[in-house]
Formats: sequence, C-alpha cells, structure tokens
Amino acid sequence: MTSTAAKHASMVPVVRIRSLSKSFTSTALFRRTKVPALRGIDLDLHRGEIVALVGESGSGKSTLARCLALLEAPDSGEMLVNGKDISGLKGSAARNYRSEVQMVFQDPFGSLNPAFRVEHILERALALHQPSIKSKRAEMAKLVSTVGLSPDVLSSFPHELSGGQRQRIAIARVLAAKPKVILADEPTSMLDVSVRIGVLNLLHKLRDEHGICILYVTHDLASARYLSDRIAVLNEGRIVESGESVQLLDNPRHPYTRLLVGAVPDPDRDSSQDASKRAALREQIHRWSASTTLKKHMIDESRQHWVLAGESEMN
Amino acid sequence: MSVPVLEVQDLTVEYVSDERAVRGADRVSFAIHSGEIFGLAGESGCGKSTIANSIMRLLKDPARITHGKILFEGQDVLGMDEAELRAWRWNNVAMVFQSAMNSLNPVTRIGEQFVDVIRTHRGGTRAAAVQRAEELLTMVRIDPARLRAYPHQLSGGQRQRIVIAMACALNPRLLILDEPTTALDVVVQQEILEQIRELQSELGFAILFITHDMSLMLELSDRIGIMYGGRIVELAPAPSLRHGSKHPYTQALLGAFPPLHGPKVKLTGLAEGTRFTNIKDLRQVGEGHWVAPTQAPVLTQGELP
Repeated sequence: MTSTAAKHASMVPVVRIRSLSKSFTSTALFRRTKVPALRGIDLDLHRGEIVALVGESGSGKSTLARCLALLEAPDSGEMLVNGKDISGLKGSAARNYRSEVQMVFQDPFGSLNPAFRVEHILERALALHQPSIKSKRAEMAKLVSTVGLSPDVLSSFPHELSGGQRQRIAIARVLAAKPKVILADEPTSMLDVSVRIGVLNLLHKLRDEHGICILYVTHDLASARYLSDRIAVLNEGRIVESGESVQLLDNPRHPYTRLLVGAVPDPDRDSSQDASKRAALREQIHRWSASTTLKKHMIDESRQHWVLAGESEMN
Repeated sequence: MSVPVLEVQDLTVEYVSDERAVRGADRVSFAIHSGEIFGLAGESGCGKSTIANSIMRLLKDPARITHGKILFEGQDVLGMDEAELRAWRWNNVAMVFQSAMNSLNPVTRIGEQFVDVIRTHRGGTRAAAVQRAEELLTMVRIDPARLRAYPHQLSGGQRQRIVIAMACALNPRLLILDEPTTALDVVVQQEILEQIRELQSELGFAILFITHDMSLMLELSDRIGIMYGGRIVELAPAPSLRHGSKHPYTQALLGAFPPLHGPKVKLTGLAEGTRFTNIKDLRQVGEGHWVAPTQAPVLTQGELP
C-alpha cells in the first residue's frame, strides 16, 4: 500500500475538486448571514479508490457529496470529473453526467417508490441510462445477483423487503447506470446492525470487481476505517486532516481528529476521554482553525497523510 | 442476596389483531440489582422497547401482557391500579425515551417543565421545585440560568441532558434509558454517557439501558441481555460477552462494529435472510452466563480481506 502515492501521481484522478466553496444564507428577522458550509475543499478520487469523508453533523460532508451530484451549486471552485468541468451542467449533459456519478442515499425506505415492483424500479434505471440493452430481464437478474439477492425479489414490492435488501436494491439501481463514481451518503446508518457489514462488504466488492471509486460519507469512524483506503476529516467546512485510513486513525494529528477518535466507544480502551481532555482539545481546535497561516503540512508522504495547521502549531 | 430492584419473570407480551397474535416478548426473564447497569441489546423489532414499555405499564392496545410477572422491589407492578401507578412512576422508575430531546414541550420554558414534574409527583412549594431544578442542571453541567430558555434555544445534546436530569429529578431507584444517544454525534454521545455515569454514582440508581449499538453497550453496562425475536438468546456479564459470546446472533452483533485499531480484518456480519426460529430456554454455561442452545453454525470472523 505504500506505493499508492507514487501510483496515483502518474494517473489522472477520476474526480478532482479544487478550492470548492459553498455557503448557505440564513435569514433571521432583520438580518441575513452567510453560513459557510464548505471552505476551499481540495479532494481527489482515483479509479478504484474508496475515500471516506468523516465529520460531525454540520461539518459539510453531505454538502460536498451533494455538490458532486449536482444537487447543490457551489459558490466557487472547480470540480473536474474525468477531466471535464461539471459545474453548471444542464439538460442532456447533466443526464449523461449522472449516469457516471450516482448516489446511494441514507434512507432505503424513502428512496424506492413504494407503488412499483423492484423490476419496474430497475427497468426505469436501465431504460434511462443504458437504452441499448435489449434483454432487460436478463440484465436485471444479473444486477440483483451482483448485489447478493436472488432474482425472486424482482417481483416484490419495496415494503416486502427488509432494510438491508432495500438498500441492496438501491445499489442495484445505481449499478444499472454503470457509474464510475458512487457517492454513498451514510448508506448503512438506517440499517439494522447485523446487516450493515454486508452492505459495506458489497460496496467493497463493487470497487474490487468494477473499479468503481466510492466517496463514503459517514460519521462512523470505525466503518470508515473498515471500508475506505483514505479518510478525509471535515470540520466546519474544511478538510483538516487526510491520509490512509489505518495510519490516520493510529496517529491522528489534528485536535479535531483526536477528539473524534477519542469519542468512539471502545470496550478495550482502559480509560475514556474525560471532560477536561475534551475541553482542552476543543480549545485547541478553536486555536488551530483561527490561525492565519493555515496550510497543509505533510506528515507522511508515502501514506499521503497531511494535516491543516498554522505555522506555530507545527513547530 | 437482597431483593433485586426489578425482576421480570416469564414476561410474554402479545400484539393481538383480528386474525393473529404476534409475540413482542416471549417468556423473558431477568433481574436488575441495586446500582447495576443492565443492558438490553437487539435490532429493531426484537422486543426491547416492548419490555421497557411493559415495565412502565405504558403498553396500549393491541398489546397485551398475557403471561408473567414484573416485580419492583418485590411489589407487583402488573397489579397496580391507575392511582398507584401514578404515584409509582417517576418517583420510583423514570424513563428516557428514544429521541427524548424532542419530548420537551416547545412552548414552555425549561424551568416550568421541571417545576411541573416535581410538584405533580412530589408536591412542595414552587421555590423548592425551582431550587431542585437548579441543582439538577448544575449536575448535568448546564448553567442554571438556562431554566429561562425554551427548548429550541438549546442544542440537541443539551436538551438530551435536560431530559435525563428531569428523569432523575425525584431520585428514582431505576432509570430506563431507551436508545438515549441515537441521533447524537459521537462526541456529544460520549458526554451524555459520562453524565449518566456521574449521576448514577451520585444518586445510586439502577439502569436498564436499551440500544442496538454493541460497542456503546459494552462500554456502559455491567450485564447484558441479547434479544432476538422477542426472546433473550444470551445473558452474560459484559466482559464474558465481549470475549466469549456463545450465540451466533450475539457474534453477528459484535461483528457489526469494526475495530478502530489493529490490522484490518474482514467481518461477515449476519447473512441476508438468516433467521433463528424456535429459540430454546436459556441454559447456564458459565458464571452468570446463560445461552439459548442453537444448532446454527458459529460464524467465522477475522479472515483477511
């Protein structure tokens, strides 16, 4: 794994995001304030790579995925997918783009139309994104077997399926578009715990067998480490630390990453992070993010581990 | 041994409709001792909330308790009438519900809601109630001045802490926490758990803790019961469960939470469509460790991806 940096350096990334910013306007009675959701995000996704975006609610991780899915328009910055600028795509260009970049949502109960059978749901996706396919029936059977279900589910209605099965159907529908990139926004947080791992393993398999790159948005550090090759930690709209998953979580440098890592319940840990330690980290996070000399400091070149910090913190 | 705070014996709850009856809880037995944290873990629909609601006598039609006993310090809970129940609830047993932070009245100040609870259940003057509310807020590290605030002026974590403080207002002997930290961020979750531990050591109540998050459960609970399909399939002290679980379902639950350290290993979880049926009565396999015998194969965990 150590050679990933060298390997990636020679390749054009599938997704390249540069200084992306987005803010929302919050309206109170007599004032309008701009709330920044993303501030100067740089992120690359390579072919066959799984990158996890982690952070607390409000850190901007979903906004980033939604910008990539053209569901939000960024204020500034650049998003290149396969070398093409995608901001402001409309009409058929946007439709073509959407077959390349597909999204899996959090709620498999809300994302499948309850009035139609699974076969209809998949057939629509095939008709839209792969109109050239003649034998839709065979293709659909192939899709459901790829996601680990038997072809019998095609004639079921969504309400007849369990949460895990529904999420697998949602993934099969995504695959019907033959995407290059899957944006998975908390795909397992609504599922029962015992089937979560199955869905994560499925995403892993899609990466291995189809070379699809995946942006996995989650607040669960343990599953991010399990699934992804690389983790990017978001805090208040900035990526504050990034690196190979295992290395990053074993050696977190930014106080925010350390706060998150310390908060994950871990029965094997001797002592839990106490209130005074949390307060100290919070104070540090504040100081780090207020620094005027913020820049990326490389910690480990071969593992692409860097941290966003001011000059004074790094010395 | 002293009388347990709560004893549930052979509890069976059925949801009865015209055509059929579904068992929400099936011959469930366990006991919680004074000052103990007992966890009930399982997935949605396994009956853990049904148990909590039965203990509080909050079940509504079509649910019926068809069999079994619930004893609170030796006193029969199922035999209480409305007036007895009203005197018993909150004074002796308090419950924090799932998404409790939304259970505060949005149009009333926090302080007013505290005063309401305290005076309804224990009487006394308004001033005394306000004073108690101030003490409680200090205990959960919220500025007592916030009693003047409305719920929407507080963050989710603060509201959750207030609801827990409110549950502790009358020094109950048992606190039932039904998924107290779902929908909260990890850091906030850790703060709430710490708060619960602190309150417990200060006030000395026992806790029935309900969640589906095994890592959380293992960190907080002393003893854990794993529920599946209305039955308890494994009951053990937390350390034995962590390192020597015997039931494949328990192992699937444990395997659903990848570790944060060490080498990456491939986990299997529970295969789609795996069902356990006809779950037998628990059998003792070790010190305080009970398992329902099963033929299902034990999962292999830990091969490399």
